[in-house]
Amino acid sequence: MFNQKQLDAIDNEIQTNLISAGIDHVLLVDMAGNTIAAHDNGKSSLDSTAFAALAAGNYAAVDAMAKLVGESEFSLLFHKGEKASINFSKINEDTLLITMFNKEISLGLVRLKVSETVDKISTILNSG
Amino acid sequence: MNSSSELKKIIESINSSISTQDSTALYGLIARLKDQNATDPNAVSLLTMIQELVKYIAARGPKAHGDAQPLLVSLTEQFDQIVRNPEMEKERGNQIVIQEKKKFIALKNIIRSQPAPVIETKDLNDLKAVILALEWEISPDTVQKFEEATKNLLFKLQDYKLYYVLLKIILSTGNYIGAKKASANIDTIPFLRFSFDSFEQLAQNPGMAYQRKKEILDTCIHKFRELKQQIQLSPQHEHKMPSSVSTADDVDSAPDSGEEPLEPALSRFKSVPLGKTDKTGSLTPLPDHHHTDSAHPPGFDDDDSVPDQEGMDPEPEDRRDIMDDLFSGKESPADELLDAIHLLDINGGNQDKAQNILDSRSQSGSLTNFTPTKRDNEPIPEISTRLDELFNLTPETGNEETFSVPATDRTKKTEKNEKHSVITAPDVPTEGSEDSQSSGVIPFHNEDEWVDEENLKENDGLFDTLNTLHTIFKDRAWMKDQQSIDSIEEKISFLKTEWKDDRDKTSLLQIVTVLMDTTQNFDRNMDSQNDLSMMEPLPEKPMGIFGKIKNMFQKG
Amino acid sequence: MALINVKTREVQIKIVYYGPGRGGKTTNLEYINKTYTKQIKTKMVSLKTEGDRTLFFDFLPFDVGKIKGFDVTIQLYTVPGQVKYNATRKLVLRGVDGIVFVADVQKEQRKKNIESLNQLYENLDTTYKLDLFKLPLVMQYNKIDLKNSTIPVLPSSIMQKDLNSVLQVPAFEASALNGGNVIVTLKKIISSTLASIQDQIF
Repeated sequence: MFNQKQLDAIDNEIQTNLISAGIDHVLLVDMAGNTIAAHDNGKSSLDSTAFAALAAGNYAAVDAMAKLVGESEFSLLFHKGEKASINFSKINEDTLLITMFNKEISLGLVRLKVSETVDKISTILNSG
Repeated sequence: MNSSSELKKIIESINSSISTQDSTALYGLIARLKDQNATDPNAVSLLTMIQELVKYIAARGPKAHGDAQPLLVSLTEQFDQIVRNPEMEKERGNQIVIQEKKKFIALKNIIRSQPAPVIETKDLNDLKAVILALEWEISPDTVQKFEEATKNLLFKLQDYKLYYVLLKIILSTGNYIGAKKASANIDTIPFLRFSFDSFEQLAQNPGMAYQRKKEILDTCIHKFRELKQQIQLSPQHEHKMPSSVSTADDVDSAPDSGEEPLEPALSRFKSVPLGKTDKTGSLTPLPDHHHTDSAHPPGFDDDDSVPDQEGMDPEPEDRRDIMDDLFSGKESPADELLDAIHLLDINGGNQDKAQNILDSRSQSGSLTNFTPTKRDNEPIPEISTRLDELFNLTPETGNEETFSVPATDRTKKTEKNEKHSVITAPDVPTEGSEDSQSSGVIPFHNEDEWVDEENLKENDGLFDTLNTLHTIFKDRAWMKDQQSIDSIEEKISFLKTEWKDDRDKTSLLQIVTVLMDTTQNFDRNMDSQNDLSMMEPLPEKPMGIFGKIKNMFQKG
Repeated sequence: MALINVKTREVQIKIVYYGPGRGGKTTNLEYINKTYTKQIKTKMVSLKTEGDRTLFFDFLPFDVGKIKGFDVTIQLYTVPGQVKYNATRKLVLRGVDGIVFVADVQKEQRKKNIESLNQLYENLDTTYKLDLFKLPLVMQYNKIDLKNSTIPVLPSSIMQKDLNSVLQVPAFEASALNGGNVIVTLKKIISSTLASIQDQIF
């Protein structure tokens, strides 16, 4: 699905756009819950295997709910916590980008940064 | 000297406002005079006050306090005097300055005690809403709305310096975020929130002391400057090696083949019960004839992997494990109930405590949650019969509750192994002949052909009983045969149990019993007399009634 | 956790099909769903991957009907079987009332069966403080039809020793794809589960 060149490029985008900008964790997963790429800022640990599986399941469940209410999908899937929050972004039908950030950084800003990164990753994936 | 008279001239020429050009010239002049008179502290003090007043008047223009201009003139006069008379006594000079200072401070207080502005709640809430919206989404739309709300308030509060300055800071920050979008410094939005909170504090506390208000503003200005500095310094990017993550799961190593002994599952949690080492639960096999259509794909999926080791590096103590809280036992009513259930030991001493918990749960409404804890209960017959009905493929048209499959005849029940739905096909070994694999063999039939013979018989049981009764009653010999009487009574008792929820039928059965007794008594009387002459035709009435009852039974 | 509403006279119980990946849990539910479409009025929900592996759960609710005046609803769930989905399995186990353990008789899966069962015990214990030995449980040894193929399978005696020597619960050989003993297993677990709570209701 991904060649090494693509993976390296994706890693770079995530690192420069997201981790450097203050986001704590970034996971690129497929819809089956497999982790394609995982990045963090070194300040906290995360069981990315379990997290990826749950995230994929969560996304799938919410997607099923969207269809039940007549939506093709929801554009915002965001979980707000006291200290940490999680944002889901679909890259394409097979991949999800999950960002975890603390309260120092606002969702609005995260969404903008993620949106840019998603565009770049899509370009990378399409260019092969 | 020239400078001081120049100053005096300019000051006296000020009417209501000072133009920017004038104020700049004035500041320059005042600065020069300060230098010239640096050795004279009184002169410097007066010049400082003059400078402050000039600033004030220049900023407020026609809205400046009426006393500001006269005071400015007075200060300038005094300054001129001090400068022209260098031989003036120091004491005299000090007194002049003290006097002017008093006036200056008095004016300052008057200006400061100006009533706080009335800020409409709607305007404040509008601003709050747009700032919150910006936290969620930075788009042209949200930025525009933000600008509108801020500018609206700026217009209304332009005469109130403190508020005005705060709003300017808010506007400036918001505009920066709107301009930079994704590249905005991440601290700007929290700062925006902070400045709004400060503004809100001022707005909601009009009676707040001026000093406190100034402190709040100063803090905000200080942070604003710090942020500005931060933004101007280019951020250092740290390049880290991305963590290497394999994209393919490890292929599981082939499990042990062959039937070598492996430690059975759960043996480390519980030892095999004593005396049951070679026993296992009952096994129901699947007869071979059912295997023919197998289209099962061979092998297993190689995707199954050994648990991923990559995320499990030994963590330094200061790292926070985010997954810690995910499954922590959180106290909830359900947990409480669980505790109660675990405490609940039929023969144990914790019964009361557990029961209290359970009672308090059930009293909280008709809804209770209950976790099954007993595995070995025998199900009540209704469960089995209902399940049999459900999974029987003959279509049903509803009304399950009226169609109640009767329980097995008690005499038959004891012969079975407590399995109401046991079926035995002729080619399957019965329970008596065990093979090495299983005990209590329950063979499998294809679901479509599945027929519960026992239940079918039981469905007819009621009708058979009635028929039997009818046959017995028809033959009048029953009255003389105790065995028959016992059998009748037993059958009637059985029917009463079956129809215990049906009042009409149980009433009819009671009538039958009464009639039985009456008939028996009558018959005994007849026998004892043994007199043909006394023989009367049998009363028609009971028969007639019984015939009707019989008919009713037959109809069902 | 069985939900009992004495006011509306409703009972809801949750039964989870558990076991190693690709063992036949989803197949069991699919068979039930396909065969009893008339009796089962609600739609089966299946959250799967593209490769047809369960991602989150399969869900099949159906009404058993009235038992002693109580409307009984059964909620059937399957868990994702693959090793990496253990966190998800824990979630699906929440509130479980009865379990069907679907084991795979293929020789290659022997270890997986045991590991899965051990993990089930641990999951229930650590996450919900539930004792597997106290929950209604039924074993299913699935894919028994492979006996007639070239694929090596374990005899039921080994399956029993591996998986049922400590538990000693009813076990059924099965062929879920063809429906063999699927319903019998289901009936047994429903019956056991209802029996374990019948004192509360019936």
